[in-house]
Amino acid sequence: MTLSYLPIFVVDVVGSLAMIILGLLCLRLALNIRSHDKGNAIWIYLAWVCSGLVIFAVSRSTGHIVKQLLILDGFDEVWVAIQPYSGAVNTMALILVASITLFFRQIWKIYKQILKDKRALQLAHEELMSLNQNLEARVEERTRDLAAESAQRMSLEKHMAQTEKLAAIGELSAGVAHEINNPLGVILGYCQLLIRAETTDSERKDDLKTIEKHVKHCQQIVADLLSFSRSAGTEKAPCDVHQILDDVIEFISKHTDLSHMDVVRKYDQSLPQLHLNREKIKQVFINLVMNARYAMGMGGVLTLETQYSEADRRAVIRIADNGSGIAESDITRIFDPFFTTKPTGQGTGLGLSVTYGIIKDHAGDIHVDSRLGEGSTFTLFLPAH
Amino acid sequence: MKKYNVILFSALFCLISALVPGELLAIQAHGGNEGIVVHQLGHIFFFVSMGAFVYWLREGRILGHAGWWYIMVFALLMGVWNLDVLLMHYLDEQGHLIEVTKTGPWTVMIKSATGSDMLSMVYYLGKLDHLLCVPALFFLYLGLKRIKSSLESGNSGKEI
Repeated sequence: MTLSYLPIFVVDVVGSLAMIILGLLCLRLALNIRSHDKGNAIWIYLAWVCSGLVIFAVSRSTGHIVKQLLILDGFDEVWVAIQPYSGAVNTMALILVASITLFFRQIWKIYKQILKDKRALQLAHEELMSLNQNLEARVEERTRDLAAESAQRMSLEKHMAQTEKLAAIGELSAGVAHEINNPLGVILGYCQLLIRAETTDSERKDDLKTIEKHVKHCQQIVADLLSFSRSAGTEKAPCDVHQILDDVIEFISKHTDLSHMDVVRKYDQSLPQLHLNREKIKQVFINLVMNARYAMGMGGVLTLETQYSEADRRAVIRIADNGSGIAESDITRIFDPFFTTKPTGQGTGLGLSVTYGIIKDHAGDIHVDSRLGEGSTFTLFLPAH
Repeated sequence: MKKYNVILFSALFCLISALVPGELLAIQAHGGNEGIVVHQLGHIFFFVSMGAFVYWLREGRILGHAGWWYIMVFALLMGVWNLDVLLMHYLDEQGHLIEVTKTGPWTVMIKSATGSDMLSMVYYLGKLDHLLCVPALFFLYLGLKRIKSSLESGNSGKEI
């Protein structure tokens, strides 16, 4: 079969040249890719494969081109002499490329492991960075918590000290009151006998009446002290707190001018009747409202608010004013007997002490929040049985 | 005592060896068809490595990444090229089934030992093996180019 040699010649020579060119282009690209990330095992592998292919393409293609040219020029015997060397190099290049290719699996495994380790390292690094960044915020947060805890503890300690102090004062007051109460009774009795013995409106009778008045005043103080010390017995019955509050406002408005005050009522209608001593609680409300009136002076808003917590079974009663407020240094002393900021002759300093005693006698509690110049809020907590 | 025995036996062995000469077989000769056998084994090795490469590319789910499909085509074409060259070498140098005679400056007569024109034609077409290996390298070039552009655009990042 006779065939044209031209196609074989052209494909061989042009193909060989193309192999060298393409091999070199591939190597250049592979090196370029590797330069993007010199530590990437896959890119290193591709560069190795391309290097092997270039060696293979150059050795084989050179052999082919030389062979075609020598045969074409009739130097067949020269080619026969060169052929073993060209073939040997060719075989070595062939095995080289095949060997490099077979490393792919191991390279791929190594690459995946490196990638995994890198991710783990990155994750750890990010976590560390985040911890580092948040450390300051966490320290601040913890400091705030500690400060809040400390403030709460201090407030509790203050409250306990106040309670203990008031209890001690109460005990002392009760003792003194009992000791004074009997002589006062005797003085009053004899005084009244002497007044009865006087027939005319003499100067002596007026003097005795003055003594009687002051003895009664002393007895009132003693009674107040007994109320504070809670040594007087109290009879309790179900009462409507809203009704008592309204009665108090009405009672005070009859005796004093409340026209300069706005009374705001925020009553919780779910508040049930409470087991209270009506008269004593009335006295508490009178004391607090009168204090508020005094603090507001020329005018202001008096807020009466009630709340009922079913979960705690507890009634909360707030009596708030926007008056002059209480100085911080006085807050701890306002429930002390005879402590008053009013001018001499305007108050005995027993109003809040009595209030405190009555609330405690009802198994309740009383808190005060006040800011100088902004007003005060007295909060009463009473059990709802 | 043991040391002296070793020396004695060694001396005896050297004496007997000198008295009874034979062929020098210490280094194997590499004549004959060994060259073509080595070359053919090289092609088989290359073919197997390309096959394994294609298998690992598919198994490792790498083909979804930019450029690797082209690299797989490169490996497939190189595998086919190896089979083609393997056959040509066999027909030419091992089986001696083909005889090529130059009949003119640009003509050749291809004669098969079996007299089959089909085999002559297969040999003729098989000799155009660059039609397989050049496209193979072109596909490798395309694959690398895709990887490079993907890295430059930052689509795939540095990881594949």
